[in-house]
Amino acid sequence: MSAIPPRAAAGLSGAAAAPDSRKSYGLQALVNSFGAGRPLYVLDFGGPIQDNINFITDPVNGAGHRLYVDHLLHAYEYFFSAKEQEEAAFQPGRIEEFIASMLDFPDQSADVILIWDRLQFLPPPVAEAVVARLYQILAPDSFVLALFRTDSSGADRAPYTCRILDDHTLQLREQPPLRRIQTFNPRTIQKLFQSYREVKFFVSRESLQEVLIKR
Amino acid sequence: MWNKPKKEDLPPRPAPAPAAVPGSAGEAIPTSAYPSRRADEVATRGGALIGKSLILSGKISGREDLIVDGRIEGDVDLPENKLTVGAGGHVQGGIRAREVVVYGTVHGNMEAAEKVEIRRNARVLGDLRTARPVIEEEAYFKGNIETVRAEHPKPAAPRPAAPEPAVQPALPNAVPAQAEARPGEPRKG
Repeated sequence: MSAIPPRAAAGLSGAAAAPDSRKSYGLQALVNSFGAGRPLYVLDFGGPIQDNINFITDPVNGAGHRLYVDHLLHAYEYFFSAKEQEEAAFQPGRIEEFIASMLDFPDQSADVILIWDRLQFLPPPVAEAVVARLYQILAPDSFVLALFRTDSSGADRAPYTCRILDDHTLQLREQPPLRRIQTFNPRTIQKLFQSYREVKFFVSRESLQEVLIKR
Repeated sequence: MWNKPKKEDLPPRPAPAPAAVPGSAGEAIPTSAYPSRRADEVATRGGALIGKSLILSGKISGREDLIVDGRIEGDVDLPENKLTVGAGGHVQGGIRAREVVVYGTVHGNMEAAEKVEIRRNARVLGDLRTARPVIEEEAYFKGNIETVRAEHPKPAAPRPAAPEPAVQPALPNAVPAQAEARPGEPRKG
């Protein structure tokens, strides 16, 4: 992101001390990858989080970018019937309909996509369709920041609420309800993003894999 | 030290207000469940109320605060005032106001010079353009957010000094201009 907020640049001591907070090398690399310049268009599919809105959009204390917010999992659950979700079986054309309604953006219009851990809670064919559409939406040399829990052993988990505390600190809190989680490892993550130019892994605490993907 | 009034000087406390409406954090804006309080609020603030059984189609514009508990199908334009969409309220159209607070549903873009607050359980599909976007996490929001610098009113141009009268008129009951409206006191008249 082009401008680092002053409170972030100053190394906010309170951010590091916040409960559930952790240093995020992925976020740091994302922020550092953009020099100062034009305002960016950021898509955040983690749902509305006030700290993230301030960090990304505030023209004085934040980066002054334009932000689009939606919650990928809520959109998925709203669009597909309970039966479709339970069986993870979709009639032909249903996933395409979902993608068209959920990701209705001009091609190459986005500069940053924050997908957080949401892909891991989608059935594989839906996750693959989302990733393919994100590729079209992203401008060349733009980035996706994703999180994957590598310790997922098939047990249901709650997705994270991902809060940006500063340019290198995230606060992650599990937000019920529990949902079915797909298992990913570095190889399957590479495969999911195989059409992208670069996939960079950052190891974090508690078997959490931060991944920065370049279009 | 803080000129705290003595306990016996304090006016009697009013009866406790009814519990806040579930789903509204902070300042508890009453919903239609408390029509008398809502009517009081409207009367006190000089605003207007669109009741829960009303459906309006067309553009609304004006210079007073508005509380919507019913349904509006059309644009709302209150550039100097506050629009509150109550828990049961629904606006299907664009909104321009000084301040917008949403407890209910808005399908349309919102532009507010000061702030837009989307409270928990509210549902908003549309873009926001405001100096202070505030969205509670349990709200449903889908759209673009653009934070703009707050528009501060330009300071009034200094007036040319009026020539002092040679003799001050003797007006013992006149109120000095500065004392007419002290900060925190309602202006008389």
